[in-house]
Amino acid sequence: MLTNKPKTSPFCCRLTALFNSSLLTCAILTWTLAFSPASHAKQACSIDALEAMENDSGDVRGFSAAVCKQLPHQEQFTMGAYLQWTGGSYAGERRYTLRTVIMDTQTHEVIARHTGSLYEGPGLTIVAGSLDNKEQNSPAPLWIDTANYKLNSDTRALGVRVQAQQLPEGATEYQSDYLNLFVHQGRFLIPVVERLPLYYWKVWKSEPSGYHVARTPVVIKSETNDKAGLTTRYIVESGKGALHIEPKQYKGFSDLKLLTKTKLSGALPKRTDSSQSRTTITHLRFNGERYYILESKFSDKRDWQHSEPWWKPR
Amino acid sequence: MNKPLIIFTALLLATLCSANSYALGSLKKDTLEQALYEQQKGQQQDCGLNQLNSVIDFDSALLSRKHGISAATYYPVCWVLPHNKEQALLSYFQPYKEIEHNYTSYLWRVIIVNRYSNKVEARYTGIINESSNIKVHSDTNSIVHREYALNDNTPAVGLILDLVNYDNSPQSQQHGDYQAFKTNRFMTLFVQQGDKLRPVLKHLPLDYEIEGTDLAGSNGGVYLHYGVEGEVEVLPTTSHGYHDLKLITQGQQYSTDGEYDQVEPINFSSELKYDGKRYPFVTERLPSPEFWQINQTGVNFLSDSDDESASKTDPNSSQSESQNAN
Repeated sequence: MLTNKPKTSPFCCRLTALFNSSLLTCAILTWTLAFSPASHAKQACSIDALEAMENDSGDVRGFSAAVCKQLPHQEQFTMGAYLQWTGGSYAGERRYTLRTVIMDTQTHEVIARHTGSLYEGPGLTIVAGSLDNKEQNSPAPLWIDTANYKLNSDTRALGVRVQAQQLPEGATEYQSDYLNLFVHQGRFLIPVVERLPLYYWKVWKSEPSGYHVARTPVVIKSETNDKAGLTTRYIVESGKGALHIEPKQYKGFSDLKLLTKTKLSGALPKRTDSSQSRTTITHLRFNGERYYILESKFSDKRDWQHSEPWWKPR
Repeated sequence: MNKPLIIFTALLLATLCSANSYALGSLKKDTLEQALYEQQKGQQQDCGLNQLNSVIDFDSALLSRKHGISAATYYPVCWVLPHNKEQALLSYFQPYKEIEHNYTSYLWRVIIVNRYSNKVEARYTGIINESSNIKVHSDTNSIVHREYALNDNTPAVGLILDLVNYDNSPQSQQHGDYQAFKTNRFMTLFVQQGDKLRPVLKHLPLDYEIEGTDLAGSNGGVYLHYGVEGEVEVLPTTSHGYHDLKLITQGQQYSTDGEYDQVEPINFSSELKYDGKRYPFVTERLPSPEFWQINQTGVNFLSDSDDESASKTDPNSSQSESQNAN
């Protein structure tokens, strides 16, 4: 029933509309499945919305990317988000302002805003807007996420996701699909989750990854034949996360559960059992200001999301 | 009796010649040339001609009532439209708000008026914020004396905002080099759509400068400076009903290690295509991606190549050296 086509989601959700938790699971799971760069529709801003955001910014530097979406649960409001380049010359060293606004849908007056920043790094580059035909298939760097992030009975958080691209060489870890969650209160957009990566990719080199490499005869034979791979054994792990709302609340907002499904691939696929995958669970709790990671009981190196330093290294 | 006429003609010719030599791209204006140019530019943009000052006063009074601000106006410029002499293009700045750190934000008003009825036929209001890097000055506002025919029925008018825009933030000094980026002339093309003036090309930077010093270099530092100036040309091809535009930039690349200097002409170009709403562009890739590959160890320095495109190093190689261990 849940497919990759976003169109089917309203139908599925209407059937279970009586059950809030099912609705939520439906919305979030559909969102997880539907959200891949190629499948989501463009969130283009109307020219009036664009001009309103440009005037609100007051900066002659244009937008490297801009998205707008009318809020499905509050149609009098339209959410906008844009990236404005502020410095740095190389790809991989650029700095951006990420601004999120709420506009009146009719007048486009900017009612609330939040200004954040985004710095590129070795694993994170922003590919801004598709300007020539070569880049038409690349994902838009920004995406407004209006899934039902209901943090309590009165509060539905709004999301902005940042798609980053990896620099072609060098990095052994890569994160993308950063989620920012905001709560709209009057003239303020308050960030409660900032830059939570929902996609990652990691090369396990000499560290024990905990994965079992099945040494079948086929694998051993391929190892013998492969001159380059004998000394360098590594496994690549990628993970895709989704956020779920928990019933328990702390300091007014529900706990969040980040479920990440991982899968393996390797330079020599025969050496790894590609059916190995696991699901990691990370809990986030609101402290009155922001969500933070509840330290996992098992200090397991495989759980890449197990600590704050992973999430907020800077 | 002929003497005053001869003197007047001589002065006129001198004015035109000075203005012409400026237009040919000379960056170094001596005082006389500059004064003559300013005088001519002032006359062409003078709103006192055709009694357009009163239209500006009336328009700013409307904005003052709408926004609750003072009716003071700055930097007014006016131009009778060549394709329709009944219309004139007017633009001015009006102080809007005081923003953080005592900087001012301005309304930038651009209007087309009917010269006989003095009625405003099309309008645009933008907001320009000052900051530590961005400053407004007496030459900030000017009209491009040229119409851009985006198609047979659509003449676009252009305005140029001359602001200072300088990036010298500490982050640019992170890798042991200092890089500052500056661009200070921004062109906007407007098209009349009903009673609105729509900026279809917005704040396209025309001038680009990167300067930097590589302190980590073996000779103790190579200083590089790229400076180019741009112009917009209309191409014969079209996209979504409007002609494509080309940003042509030309300038110089200067490098020195304190002992040897090298100066080379460089040029870049970018094509801009209308997407139905705007001519979109990404500033950090203008005037072209090659412009940004400033070589930290000395581009073209004593190399055999005479073409700037052969001198670029792979920026990724410096990335892998500096990636964070995690």
